[in-house]
Amino acid sequence: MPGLKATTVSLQKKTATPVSGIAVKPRAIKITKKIEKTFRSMPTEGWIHIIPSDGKWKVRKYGAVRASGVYDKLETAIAAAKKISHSLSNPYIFVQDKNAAIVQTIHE
Amino acid sequence: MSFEKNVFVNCPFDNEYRPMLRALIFTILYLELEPQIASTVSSANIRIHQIIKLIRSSKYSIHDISRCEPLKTGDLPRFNMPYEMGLDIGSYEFGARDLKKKKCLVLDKDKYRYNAVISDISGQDIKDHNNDPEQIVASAREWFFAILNRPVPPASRIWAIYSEYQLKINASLIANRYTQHEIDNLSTTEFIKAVKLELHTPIIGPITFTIP
Repeated sequence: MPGLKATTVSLQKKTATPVSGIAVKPRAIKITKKIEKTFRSMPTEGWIHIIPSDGKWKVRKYGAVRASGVYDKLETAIAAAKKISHSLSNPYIFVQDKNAAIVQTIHE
Repeated sequence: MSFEKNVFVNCPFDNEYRPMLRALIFTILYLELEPQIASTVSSANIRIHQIIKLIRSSKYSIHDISRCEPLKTGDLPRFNMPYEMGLDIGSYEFGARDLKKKKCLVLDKDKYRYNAVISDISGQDIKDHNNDPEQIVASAREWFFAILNRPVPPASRIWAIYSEYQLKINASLIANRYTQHEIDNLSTTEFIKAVKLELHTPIIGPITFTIP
């Protein structure tokens, strides 16, 4: 997908990976993955989420194959989200404000 | 209630502060800790006794003194937060042996505002949040990283997961026939329950949205 870097997540990962510059213990990974695995089982296929993050706009695609990208401007982020949505059936784009409230929903 | 996992949250509960409180509570829950707030306990008892009980049963405390000011011009400033913070610090200083293990974080909106408001707390862990929910996640995460003897995910990760949660909780509540007004005004207790519900038993089923 143009503008987005695919980042498929493996939940079965057992090896230690660095977080914040330190080696993460497998147990800690297991706990965090357990939480994330549970809520990822919610049906979110076709959902694209635009989040303000660190002064920029992050576009996150949910579902079986996840992807994300970061943009400087909201307009660019919406345009990128719309591009991704063309390849999805029944897509929803959610735009969030800094208070984590959904301020705009786009159904393409 | 487990002393080692409890986090006493001494923060305002007004509507304006709600996005900050939700982000902070999510961070606590995400790190597998248990938020303890005064509004989660029964209204049958005297409030200060409930607060003392929460302070005594929590190893960690987070005090936000950013709202020690009048809500509107002409009102008197609010002193509940500094009062409860004083009780908590006092419990560490004068309390039993277990309470010596307590750790406390003080949050304010600006970095050195506390010097003008309550300078006696200099030397405590004080962090600013600039009234920004993303910043409060970062400040709380930074503190937990320093005091918890285990790895903590980066703040950007917690913020992204929190955003995803908010979206899913909203979708679940809409599917459960909550109105947008009810979702916006969800009490802190109900928010904690909703997050825990999402953590443990995600709602699977058709989800419909109202397109604005």
